[in-house]
Formats: sequence, C-alpha cells, structure tokens
Amino acid sequence: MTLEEFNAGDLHIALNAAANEGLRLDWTGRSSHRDPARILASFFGDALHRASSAGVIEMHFEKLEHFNSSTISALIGFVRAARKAGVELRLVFDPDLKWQSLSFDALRVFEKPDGLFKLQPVAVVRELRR
Amino acid sequence: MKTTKSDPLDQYIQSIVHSWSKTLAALGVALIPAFFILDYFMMPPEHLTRFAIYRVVTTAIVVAQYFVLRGTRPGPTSILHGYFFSLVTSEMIVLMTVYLGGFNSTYYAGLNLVMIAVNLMLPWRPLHSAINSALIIALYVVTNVLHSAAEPINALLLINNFYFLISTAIISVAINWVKERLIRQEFLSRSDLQTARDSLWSEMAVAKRIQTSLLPRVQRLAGCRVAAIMVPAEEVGGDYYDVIQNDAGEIWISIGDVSGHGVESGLIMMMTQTSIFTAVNKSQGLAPSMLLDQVNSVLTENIARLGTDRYMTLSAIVLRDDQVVFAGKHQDILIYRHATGQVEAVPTEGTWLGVVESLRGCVPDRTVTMADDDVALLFTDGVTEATNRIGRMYGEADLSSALARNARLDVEAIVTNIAKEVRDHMHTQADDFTLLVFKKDRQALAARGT
Repeated sequence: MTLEEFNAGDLHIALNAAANEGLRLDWTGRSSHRDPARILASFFGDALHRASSAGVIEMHFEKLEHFNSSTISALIGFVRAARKAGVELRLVFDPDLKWQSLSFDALRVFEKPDGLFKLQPVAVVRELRR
Repeated sequence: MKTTKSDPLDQYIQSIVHSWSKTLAALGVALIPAFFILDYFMMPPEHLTRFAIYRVVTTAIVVAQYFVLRGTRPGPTSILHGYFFSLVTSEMIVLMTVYLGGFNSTYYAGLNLVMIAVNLMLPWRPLHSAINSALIIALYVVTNVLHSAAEPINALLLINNFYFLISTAIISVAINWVKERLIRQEFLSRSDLQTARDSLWSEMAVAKRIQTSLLPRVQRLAGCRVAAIMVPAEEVGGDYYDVIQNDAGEIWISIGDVSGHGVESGLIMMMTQTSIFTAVNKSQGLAPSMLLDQVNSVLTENIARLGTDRYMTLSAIVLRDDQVVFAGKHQDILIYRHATGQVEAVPTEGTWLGVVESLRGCVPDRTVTMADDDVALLFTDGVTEATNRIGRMYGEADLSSALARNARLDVEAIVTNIAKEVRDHMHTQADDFTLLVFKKDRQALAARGT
C-alpha cells in the first residue's frame, strides 16, 4: 500500500509499507534538482520517523533513470541519519546500469559489521524473495 | 546616495511618463468620440454638429500626439505631453460648457475626468499634478468669464463646481505624491538589487576564472605527453584535473569532480588542487592511496568547517616505467591498446573524498600496464552524461568508440576531436565536462635515461 508520494520535477518516490519488511521507498524518474537535500529533508525525516518502529527502510533505485551528484550528497546524509537513529537501511540498485554501479559501489564504505547499512544488487534481492 | 541615483531615477520616470502618455492618448482617442453618445441624448440638437466637430478635431489632435509620442524618445520634455493632452481635452469640454450655460452647465464634470485620468495615469511629480489641475481650472474660469459674460451666474452652482474641481485636484495631487514615493522606492530597491547582482556575478566570474586558470591544457613532460580540456558549464563547477611532475621526476595525473555546483564546489576543487600539489611535491614515492588519504583528511575537515555536504570523486595516478598505478573512485579509465586496436575500460575502486574521515583500507592501489603508443583517457561525468535533444546520454560506449577512432592522432587532437563530438551530441550543457588524454613518451624517457 502506498502511504505517501514525493514528487519534485521528474523525480517520484513512493513510500510503501510492506508487511514485516518495514518501509519501502521506490525511486523512479530522474533526480536533477539543484538542492535535493533541501527538498527531500521533510520526506526523509518523515520516513525515518515512521521507520523507527519498523526498524528497516529499503530504498529501490533500479527503476530510477538518473540522479545527479547532489542527490548522492542527500543520500549520504540520509545514510548517516539512519545509522544515528539505529534504523537498518538497504539500498537496492541495478549494477548493470553503469551510473548506478559507479555511485553505489562508492557507498560500500558505509557497510559495517553492525549490519545497519546494506547495498544489494536487485538480482540478488529478487533471488532471495523467490 | 540620493544625488548619485537621481539622474537614473529621472530617466526612469521620463521613460514611463513617455510610455504611459501613449496609453493616455489611446484612451483619449477611444473616449472622446465615445462621449458623443452622451451628447446625442443629453444636449440640445442645435449644438450637436458643433460638439461633433469639437470632438473630431480634438480626437485628431490626440491621434497626432499619439504618433508624435511613438516617433520620439523619452526625455525631459516628455511631461509636456501630459499638459498638452490636459489642455486640449479640457478646452474642448470648456467650450462645450460655454454653449451650455457657462458656469451653470454640469458638463464641467468632464474636467474632473481629465484631471483624474492625466494625473493618475502619469507617474509625474505631485508638483506637476498641482500645476496641471490649476491650469485646467484656470482654463475653465477664464474661458467662461470671457465667453459667458451675458449669462447670469448662479453663485451656488459655481461654488458647487469649484468645490468638486478643487477636491478632485487635491485628491489627484495626494495620490500622485504617494505614487511617486512608491515609484522612487521601487526604483531604488531595484537599483540596489541590480548592484548586488552585478557584484555577485563579477565575483562568480572571478571564481570561475581562477578555477579554470589552475588547470593545465597541454603538457610535454619528460616521459609523457598529456592534453586536457575542461569545458565549464555556465556557473562555477567542481571539475578538476592536474598534471604534476615533481622534483624527483614522478609524473602525477589526477582527475575528479566535486558534487554539486557553485562557488562552494569550486572552492573545494581549489583546496584539492592545492593539497595534491603540496603532497606530491613534499613526498617522493608516495602511493596514490596515501596521497588520497592525505587529501581526504584536509577536505573532510574543511567540508565540516564549511558546514556543507559536498564530496568529491577523485582518481590519482602516478606513471611508472611500463605501468600506471592508480587509486580512488572516479569514472573508469579508458585505455586504447595500440596492439589490438581495442579500448579497455579499467574500473576504479574505493570511495569518494569527504565521505569518511579516513580512507585507509577503503581505497586500494591498482596497477595497469601501458605499452608503447597505448592511450589513456580520463573523463568526468559531464562527458558521459551529456544529453542530446531526445534525452539520450553520450555514454561510455560512445566515448570508447570516439577514443578508438582518434587514438592514433596526437594527444591534443584526440582531446579536441572527442570534445567536439561531445559538444555536437549535447543539447544544452548542464555540467562541466573534462577530458584528459595521456601517452607515454618513450623517446623522451630514454633521452632522460630513466
């Protein structure tokens, strides 16, 4: 069930609540806003607040066409905020898309033994859920 | 302050007085004949022909005034159009009152309309409103005194007429005073904003010039030929590259991109340039990963002090005899293999700068061989993400093909040709783009005895 949607220009994020799986955010379109951290702050804050009970947020980027470097800055800020809040964050991406593998591989530095941050190729996630 | 801005303010007021006088004349051309309908129903039939002639002549004069306004430029005399329009239309009304009983006629009410239309439409100073109103009233009095002497004057009606005319004049002057203050205030605010904007743009232009002047274009180093180009987008961006040969003869090539745009990104790029330049000149035999760790320490600290969320993709490369050693997560390194004619995409690994406090263990050093006449191409995302009219990105595949087609040329020609292809592909440039090509120069290496 879609709880809420974020729309800004060509970017759309649908916030869904999956049973026993916490929150799921599906990113589609293109994120090319000049200051995405500012426009996403409230949506991210709300998602984090809702996830504090479920404990898990899963963001899906595999259908996203493109995001700019400022969006990654916003995402890095969210990764740090989620860790601080003790919320598990999973980013699902498509490594076959060059721009996605370039961007998400660099975020592996946030993967720690505490398991609060995970990068998951979409094919692996699909396989696990079969 | 007020004195220095009075001339432009006067010019501004003259321009709008001139422009709005045209509107006023157009209004006159429409309303003066239209009021003949009122004449037709209200006036004695014996006066209709005369009044029609008055209206036709007055309309013709106002039409002529409209074309004079269109054919002339605003200037100090533009305000005369307001007076002229007032006097011509008022005289027409006053002449009508003469034939309708002089001061006893209610047709004087048209003068109130002229006073309101002219004084409220034109943004001239309150003094002009006062003089214009006084002239209209004087015209009314003098003309009727001269032509209606035989008519007995109803004192009460006369007081009534003056009461309304003078009240209209006072209201016009008061509104004009308020309006003039608002126009002055708006002009000064706009002028201040323009000054601030011009100052900001000139600062931005300086920042952009400093940034681009830090980037070398073509270098013939001992042992290596390098050519590069950075094509900036409209504002200050974060693309960075450098080619440095230190005192020990080590050749360092680096390329990166600060996230976001604007002066902040440009400043971080400049910090990076300075840090790398200092580090490679201070230490010899430094591994690229160590260099990145040192630069990252500086950047992370400074980014935190700036209170911003920027990060930077950066690859640092040091050239060895038959190899290049590199570290740092950026775009792939494309290497044209002369022996096979193929282009190999060498991925970069690790993470970016400014993301974590220490890069130790996060950014590995990698080595790749480079044979004679192999060509390496480094680039920023502005190249592969250059988008055409239908939204298709240029992409790494197109870039590899372009490299393969041009690899046998001189390094400068390779860069020039590929940059042209990217420019031809892109619809509008949204981001800086950078291309850097290098070839080992074996003859120079041999001559140097390395």
